[in-house]
Amino acid sequence: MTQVETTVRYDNGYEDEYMMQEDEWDRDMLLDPAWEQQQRKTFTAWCNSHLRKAGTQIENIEEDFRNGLKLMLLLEVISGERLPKPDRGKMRFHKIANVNKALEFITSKGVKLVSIGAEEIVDGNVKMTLGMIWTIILRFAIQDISVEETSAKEGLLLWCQRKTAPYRNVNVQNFHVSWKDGLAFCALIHRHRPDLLDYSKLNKDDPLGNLNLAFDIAEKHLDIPKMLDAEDIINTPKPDERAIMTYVSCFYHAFAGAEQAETAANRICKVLGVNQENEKLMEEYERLASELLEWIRRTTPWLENRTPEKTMAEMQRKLEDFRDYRRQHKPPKVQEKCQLEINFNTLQTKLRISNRPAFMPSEGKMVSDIASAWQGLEQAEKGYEEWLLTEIRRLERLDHLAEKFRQKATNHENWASGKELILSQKDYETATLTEIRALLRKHEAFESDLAAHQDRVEQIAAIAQELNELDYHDVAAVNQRCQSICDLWDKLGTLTQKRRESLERTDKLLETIDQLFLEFAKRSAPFNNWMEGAMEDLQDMFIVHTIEEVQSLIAAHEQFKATLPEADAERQAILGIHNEVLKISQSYGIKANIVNPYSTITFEELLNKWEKVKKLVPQRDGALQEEMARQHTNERLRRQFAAQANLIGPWIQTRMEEIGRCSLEIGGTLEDQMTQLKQCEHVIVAYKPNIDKLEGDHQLIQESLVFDNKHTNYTMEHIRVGWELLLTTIARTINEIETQILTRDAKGISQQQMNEFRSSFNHFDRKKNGAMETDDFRACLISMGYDLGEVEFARIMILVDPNGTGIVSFQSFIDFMTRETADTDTAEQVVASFRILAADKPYILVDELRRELPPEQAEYCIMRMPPYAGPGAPPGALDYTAFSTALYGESDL
Amino acid sequence: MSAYTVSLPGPGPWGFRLQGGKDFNMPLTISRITPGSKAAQGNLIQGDVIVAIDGVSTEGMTHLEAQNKIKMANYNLALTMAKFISLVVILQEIIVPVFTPAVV
Repeated sequence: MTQVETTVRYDNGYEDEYMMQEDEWDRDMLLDPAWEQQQRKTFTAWCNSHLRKAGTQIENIEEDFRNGLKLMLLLEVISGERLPKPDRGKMRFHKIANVNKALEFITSKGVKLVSIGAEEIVDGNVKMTLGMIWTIILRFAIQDISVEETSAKEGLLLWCQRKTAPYRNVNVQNFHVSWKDGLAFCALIHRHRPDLLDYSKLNKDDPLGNLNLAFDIAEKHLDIPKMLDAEDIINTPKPDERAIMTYVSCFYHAFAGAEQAETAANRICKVLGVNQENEKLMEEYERLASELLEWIRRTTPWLENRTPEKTMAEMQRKLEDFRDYRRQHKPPKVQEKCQLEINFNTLQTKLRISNRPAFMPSEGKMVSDIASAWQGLEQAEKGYEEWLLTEIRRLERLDHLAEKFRQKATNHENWASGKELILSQKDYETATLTEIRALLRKHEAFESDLAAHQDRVEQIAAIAQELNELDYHDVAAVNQRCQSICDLWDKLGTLTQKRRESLERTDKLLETIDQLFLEFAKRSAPFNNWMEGAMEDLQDMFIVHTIEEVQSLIAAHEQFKATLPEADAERQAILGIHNEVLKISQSYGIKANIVNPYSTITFEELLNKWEKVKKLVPQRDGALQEEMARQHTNERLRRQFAAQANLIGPWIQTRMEEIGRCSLEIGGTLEDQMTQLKQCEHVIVAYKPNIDKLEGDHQLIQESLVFDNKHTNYTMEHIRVGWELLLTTIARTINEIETQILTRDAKGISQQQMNEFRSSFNHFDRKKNGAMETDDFRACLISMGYDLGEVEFARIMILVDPNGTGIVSFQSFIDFMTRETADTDTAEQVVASFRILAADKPYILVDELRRELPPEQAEYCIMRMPPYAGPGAPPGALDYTAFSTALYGESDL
Repeated sequence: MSAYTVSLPGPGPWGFRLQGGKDFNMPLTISRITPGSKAAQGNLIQGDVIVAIDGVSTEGMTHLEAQNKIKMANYNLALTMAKFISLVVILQEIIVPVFTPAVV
């Protein structure tokens, strides 16, 4: 078989094969009747498998084909072509004709039928019939088999080999013994339909099972009727090749037919697929192109959109979108375009390769269209990008400007806020002069501040202008704000001016008022002082003691009254100033509480005082008149007193002299002196009423608070004292005389002695004042013959002048003089007397006193004597020394 | 009249002579001071009036009472003294000149 050239064309190959096969057939037939049996079975089954499509079957292969009808039918079914109409006669020649038709048909298909005639068939020659059937089978079932350019039997064999190649225990080399174990059949089935059997479970040693299984499955599932007998195959050493071939060819047609169909379908599919693919590609192209164009069409307006955005953010967003577009959305489109081009080229190539006409895209979707659209897109892109950047810059600038504007406007508004209110204040209406000045200065400062801000307002306006030019989106608000700022600015300007004027005017007015106040102060202060002084003076409590004083006061008062008209004039002037101030403040509406800063004195005060003064003047007149009267009265009293005193004073003096004279007189006895003195005393006593009267006058004077009296040098005190002195002197002098009398009597001094003493005393009483001074005394003693040394004289002085007064009174003189001569009981003598009684003891006992002295004197002593405090004294001892010295009023302690 | 107090250190005798008393109608005076005595050392002045003895006023004291008081002195003797100015002197030296009208 392999000798057959695969490149031999169909007809040639067939002829060779057929011829060879015929030879084999002949030879085979003669050799093995078993094969005949097998072939019969197999071919019958085969024919039936086709005839059933026509709705008929054969029972007996040599018989049923004898009339040729079924044969023709078979051929029709197999070829799918119509044969000429069979003769419907029963005669032999009809049958032969039919068979011949069949044979002709077969021949027309290129099969050379050698030694097969219609008569043999009609006669029912088995071998011939089988041969014919084999020819048919060969021709219609096997001949067309083409596997890898190997056809017919070889092709079939190759097919079997290819299909069973994977099965290691299957080795198909021929169409007889290779098939005995049944595995080949199973393999074939399994290869195409693994679902139909489980090949792994098959056993080589069970050929019967295998064969039957395969046949069963083939009949059930593959629509291949059983054409072989399993026992026959097993029992036959070399099964019939043709039968096997026939059965296997059914498998081939079942599978390979399917395969072929598949392949054909594949091819068709492939072609169609290619077509479809091409169509799809075209569609795809169209679609992509449409899409792309659509996309471009959609995108281009977006890229051509030049609607400006309002804010940077939105613009940025647009830029972002554009970037996104460039980075994300466009690349795929670029790719798409590329793809489109590639697809187009590929498509064109494919079409060209497969000999199809070139692809012509529909209108508007041509490559050029796409290219130009794409170009347009890219240009739009560029333009858009440029526009975006420009816009962004513009917006940036606008934003910046707008921000600048906002800031400046805000700053300005902040500065300006409240200024309107401040400028509209009427605070100057209630301000004082200093406050106005301060306000003016503040205002100046404000004016310069305002001027400084002029610049800024202009800047703001300029920015607003630029924003307008640059077509800022919110320019309306900007303009509005700018407008309001400018309006306010103008207003501020006006208000500033107005305020300045008001302030200046108020300043002037307040200045004037201030001057007036100053004037007022300058004049009112002295006036006030004058009035205060006047009031003081007018109320001045005067203590006058003389009429002249009152008169001078009255004169002063009259002088004062003379000044009143002048003062009144001054008052008027000051009132004038005050009224002027009131007038100004009223007429100019100055509401400030106008207080005079220079003066604490109010006009009301001045008025009050003036009234007071006016009232006081007549009051004072009255007072002065009263005083005058009083002074006159006092003068009278004074005179009265003085008259009296002037009489009494000298009278007392006269009496004093009288007494002095009297006491110094030597002539006459002490008794005479006494009488004189007594007489004097009488006179004096009788004079007392005068003193009393004077006292009365004095009291009056004192009650009138008159303390001086120029009409007399004698005060009441003088008179009083003098009177007292007079009384005392007369009493003392009398007493002195009495004492002298006593002394004379006690000491036994005769009158003559007394006179002597008196004369001496008077002589040496140089000053004639009834007392001798130390020198006088000394002189006196010398004259009496006492020649004294200093010490002696001193002792004597101590005696006569124990108090060291430096003068010796007549009494002491007499005492001294008589001491020398008299024999008196001295304290020592008394003490000596007691000692005797006490038996020389320094103390005396009560019993002793009672014993020695008369009871009365004893008791007197006991009562009076102090207890003796010396040593060794018994209780009840009395100190007689102390007692004695005490008696004489002289104790040595 | 200026007063002063003298404190004589005891014990007695002090060395002075007491004179006077209510019963004599004369102020209690020191009529004599023994030279070199405590009284002399105590700077007592002859003729001065004893106003108080050991702080007790001598007003209304008899001679004996004064004598006793002095003798009763604890250890030291405190004598409050006053200068004596003769009444007569007062009268004659002071009052009379005043009484006499001044010669104008």
